[in-house]
Amino acid sequence: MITEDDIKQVASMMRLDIEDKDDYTKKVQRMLEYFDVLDSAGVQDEAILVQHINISQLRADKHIPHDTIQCKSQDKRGHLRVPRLS
Amino acid sequence: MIPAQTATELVRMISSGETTAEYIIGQTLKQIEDTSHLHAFLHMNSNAIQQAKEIDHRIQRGEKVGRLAGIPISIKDNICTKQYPTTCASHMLDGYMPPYDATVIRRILDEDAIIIGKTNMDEFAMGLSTEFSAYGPTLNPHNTEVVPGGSSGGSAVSVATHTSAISLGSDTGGSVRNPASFCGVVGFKPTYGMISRYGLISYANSIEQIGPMARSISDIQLCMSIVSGPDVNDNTTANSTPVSLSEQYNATENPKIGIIRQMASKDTRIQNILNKAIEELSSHGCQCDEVSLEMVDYSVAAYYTITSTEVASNLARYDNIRYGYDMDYTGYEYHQYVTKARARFGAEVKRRMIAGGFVPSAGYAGRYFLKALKVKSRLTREINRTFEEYDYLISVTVPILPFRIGEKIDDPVSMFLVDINTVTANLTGKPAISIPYGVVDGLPVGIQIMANSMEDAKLLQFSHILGDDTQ
Repeated sequence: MITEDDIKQVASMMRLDIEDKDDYTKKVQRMLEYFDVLDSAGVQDEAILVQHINISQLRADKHIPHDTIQCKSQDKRGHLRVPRLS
Repeated sequence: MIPAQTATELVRMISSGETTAEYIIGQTLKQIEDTSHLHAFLHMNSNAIQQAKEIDHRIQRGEKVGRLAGIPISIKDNICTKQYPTTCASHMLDGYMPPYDATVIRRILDEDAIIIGKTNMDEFAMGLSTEFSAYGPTLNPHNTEVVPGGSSGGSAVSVATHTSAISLGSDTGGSVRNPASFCGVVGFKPTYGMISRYGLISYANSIEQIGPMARSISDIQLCMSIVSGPDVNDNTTANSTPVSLSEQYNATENPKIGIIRQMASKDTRIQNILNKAIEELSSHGCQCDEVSLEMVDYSVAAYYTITSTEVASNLARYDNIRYGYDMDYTGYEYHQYVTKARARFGAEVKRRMIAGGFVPSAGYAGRYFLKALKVKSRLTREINRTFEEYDYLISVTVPILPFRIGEKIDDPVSMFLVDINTVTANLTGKPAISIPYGVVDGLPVGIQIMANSMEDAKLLQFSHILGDDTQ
């Protein structure tokens, strides 16, 4: 059973601030409990289908020029200023 | 006059000079004002009249115009449009102007369509009632106390209320077919890979597809013939020709139809509409038998496990540095800044991100994520085997009637289960259409037909048996 602490930990790792912890815990718990129905599907031995895409099918690894997004934290050269990593 | 004609008819009227694009767009804008209480649109194209005039001038000068000349098309707000904001109905993308057009947008603009506006949706397409839009819900035009379905709710309402002739939505678990059914229009989810997803803002890449909604099956065919086909910018597009309009369904084939047992509705009024559709198909020489797809019972759990995982990964990009909105960074340390910026995500989005962070994590992946992939694989094998014997599979699109606004909002699982009939086509990549076929308590009910992969053109041709015009 997923606990409120599990939810808090996952949320903090995903950089999410959750206001109403009770409500999030209750609803996410409800979702995960429902996912447990997968246990009764009897698919333990099923092979997972994977679609292989050949590298030759991929588009050329070339830069596609786009207009630059306009936002407030841009300097004169068009570079974006972002917060410092501490 | 409300422009209630189908897209095909409007194109004919405009191109032949019987009416003008300016008149049709003018009437459409008036109708948008008259139906604004339904909240189908998030952003409007303020140049629509000017663009219509230009098309009229070209027609008057005898120049060749495109196959969608002058008709109003609305676009779900998760498809990138260079000229108009694209917000995914999220405050996280308030005011975002994409620097490029999605491939589908480029293709319809090349055919002289007029983008009338961007439509409301559940935030980042996570929902099936349009109640999770950060800008407020869309209302069902048939009864404003019930939901229009979702997540492409605004698109369905715009087609139903004649404020667009065609709308482009996206379908990850039924997001085109469900609102089409609830609003009484035609909605189509193509084979995975038929339409480029370049410029569709990602929710769950492995299963989502852009899909058209319209008032007739012919309009869906017209739209598919323009937007489908390979795209170098989306490596998951299938190497196939666009859906052809000329491919004719051969009525003498006596196709075999499988009625999916697990998708039966408990509501006898809805089930009766399915029975009526089966009768009509039988009268056209179709052989209809019940078939069983056992994995359908587990499909919703598999669907939400897989999509939540992809959500957690896809939405990680909204760190307000690569994607997001303008928020002053001074005074914040990096991680604090990202957390603060993400406060703008809505509750449903956060819940799915948390669930999606949990189900593939070490210690839980085997119990949830890998098992969900196994269900998806078994379901795919089951349906492929069924298509060896049957040409089409039929069910109602949604097993319940449109529900009251707010009725399911506090119970995520009862909301999820509304998707039971639609997620199979997404998990297995098959094409599926929802056709309006009956009315219960004044609310529309749609019939869903699925076909095997890459048989989109055949499926659309076949669907004409169940009627062409929206009721």
